[in-house]
Amino acid sequence: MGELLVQNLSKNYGEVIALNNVSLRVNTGEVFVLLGPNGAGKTTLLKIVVGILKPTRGTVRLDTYDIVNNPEDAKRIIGYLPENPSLYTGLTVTEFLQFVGKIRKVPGDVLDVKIREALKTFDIEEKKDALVGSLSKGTKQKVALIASSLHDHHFLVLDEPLSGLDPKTQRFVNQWIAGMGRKGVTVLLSTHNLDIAQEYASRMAIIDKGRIVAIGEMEELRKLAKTGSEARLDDVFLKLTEETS
Amino acid sequence: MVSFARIVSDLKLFGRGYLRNKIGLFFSLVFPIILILLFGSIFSGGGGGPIPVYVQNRDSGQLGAQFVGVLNKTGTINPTLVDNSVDFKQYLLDHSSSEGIQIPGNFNSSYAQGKPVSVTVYSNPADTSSGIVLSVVNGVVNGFNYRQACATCTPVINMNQLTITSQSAKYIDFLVPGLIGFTVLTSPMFSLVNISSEYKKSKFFKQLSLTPLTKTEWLTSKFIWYTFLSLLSFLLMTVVGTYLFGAHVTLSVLILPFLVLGPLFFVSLGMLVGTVSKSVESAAVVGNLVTFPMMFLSGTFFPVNTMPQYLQTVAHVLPLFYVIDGLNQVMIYNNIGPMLNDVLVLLVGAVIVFASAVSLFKWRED
Repeated sequence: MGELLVQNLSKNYGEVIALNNVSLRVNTGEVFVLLGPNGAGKTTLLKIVVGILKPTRGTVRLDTYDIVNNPEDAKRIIGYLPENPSLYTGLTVTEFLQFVGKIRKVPGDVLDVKIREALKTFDIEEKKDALVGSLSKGTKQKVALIASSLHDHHFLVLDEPLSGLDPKTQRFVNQWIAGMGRKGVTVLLSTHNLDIAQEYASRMAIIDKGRIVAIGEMEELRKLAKTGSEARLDDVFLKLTEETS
Repeated sequence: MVSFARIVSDLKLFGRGYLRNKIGLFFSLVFPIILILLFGSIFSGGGGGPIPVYVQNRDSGQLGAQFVGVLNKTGTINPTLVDNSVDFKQYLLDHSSSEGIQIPGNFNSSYAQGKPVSVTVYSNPADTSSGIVLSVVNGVVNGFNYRQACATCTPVINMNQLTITSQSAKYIDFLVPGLIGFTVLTSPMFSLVNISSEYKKSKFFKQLSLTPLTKTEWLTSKFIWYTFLSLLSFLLMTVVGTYLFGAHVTLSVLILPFLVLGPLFFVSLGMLVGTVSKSVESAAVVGNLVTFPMMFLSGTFFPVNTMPQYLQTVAHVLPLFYVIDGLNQVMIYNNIGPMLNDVLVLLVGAVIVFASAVSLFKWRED
């Protein structure tokens, strides 16, 4: 299981600076939450961490693997959920999960068990033979989450995993994510939901205009924002992001 | 009560949406122009160029050479002399030629003595060029007959028409390989253009890029699928063509290279088109621009040699031409040499296009 190390990461699109010298470390088993306004650079950071984008400068290391120089080994141990996951709508839930598992070289008998258990855990057993295209958004998100975690992964990178989900499903997903952390999986996720971030995150980073403006546990953020010890995360967030604007 | 104002409002809405839809615009305005340009060029009737015809002149006298000279001067036939020692009919078969003219050894002496003599014309009733060759030879024969000093004498030179193929080939015999080639092109081409642009748009490729699945593996699986489909449609079309329409075609394992290399080429080409296009709509337009001319210029529905010379040259750079020509060589003419040439061209082309598709296609964002 592993540590995620981001060092001096920058990403430019021509004149536009999407990320500016970002550094952070996520320890094994931590649930690390990225917070920030729209366009702050959260998704760009996550895409670089999983290898979809190449950084302009800086490094990302997952365990001992550099995502740029050793992408195949790094990707093998990452589970990724993009902001709007695309699924094969013409396959059933089981067929889609089998496809993902086989590509990830999960052994056949192990895969069958994992799929059965995951469908039960996520309470979508009755949907196992339904076409993915016929599922509701929440159920599709659950299927995508299962797909991201079928293989033996050390890291889970989730971009807005709660987006568009009803409150009950959001709570379920958060508990599942926390459970992953307890199992030793290193979780990096972005969200706009500050309440849930406050409840489940080990540590947080607030990112704004491509820079990390604050990083740490809730107490550390309160101190940085110079708010009271009872201040809610949204107050801390607004204070810190106002200061950078 | 019908409101004209509401009709106009909805008309504006629909018109704007239609004009902003590249696919709709293409099929409404651009595609008909492409069709008229294509068919106009093919059937404009001019500039077809002389028909190349093999001629075996067995006559030792001057008349045979004169006959060949007159054939050449018609401008419609371009005679190529064949050595007298070869079996002429076999030579024509070996060279997949639909027409040939044989002047007998006693041509000069018979004509001089006023004895009947025949010029043999080998032809293929299913080939439109044969009709032209027959007419030209008939005309030259009549011309030579009129030269006789005796105006009331019966014509000395006759024309003996023989069929070149072992059986009388019908149009359906040539349509079957043509339509097989048509399917080998259209199925993978349209599908891959659509898939590659759609998956790019839905970011599905990005997710696939995070798995161990490589671009080469992904494209190879598509190639295997469309090879399977091309085999299936080959069987279906051959069965229907043979049992319903009486097509006579040769079935041989030598057909297989075309049913494998064709899908490989067009799966890769479809992928390339989807890769370079910026949107699903523009990919469909580009895909149609590539596919439709190829469909009509490669000998799918009519022989390439009926087209103007410049279009015949264009046909020879189209990959589908080699698929259809290769299938014709195996299924109709039973000619290994030209067939191997077609296989080689397709193999080299397919490897290059496949490698280009894998190399140029980006799964990641940058």
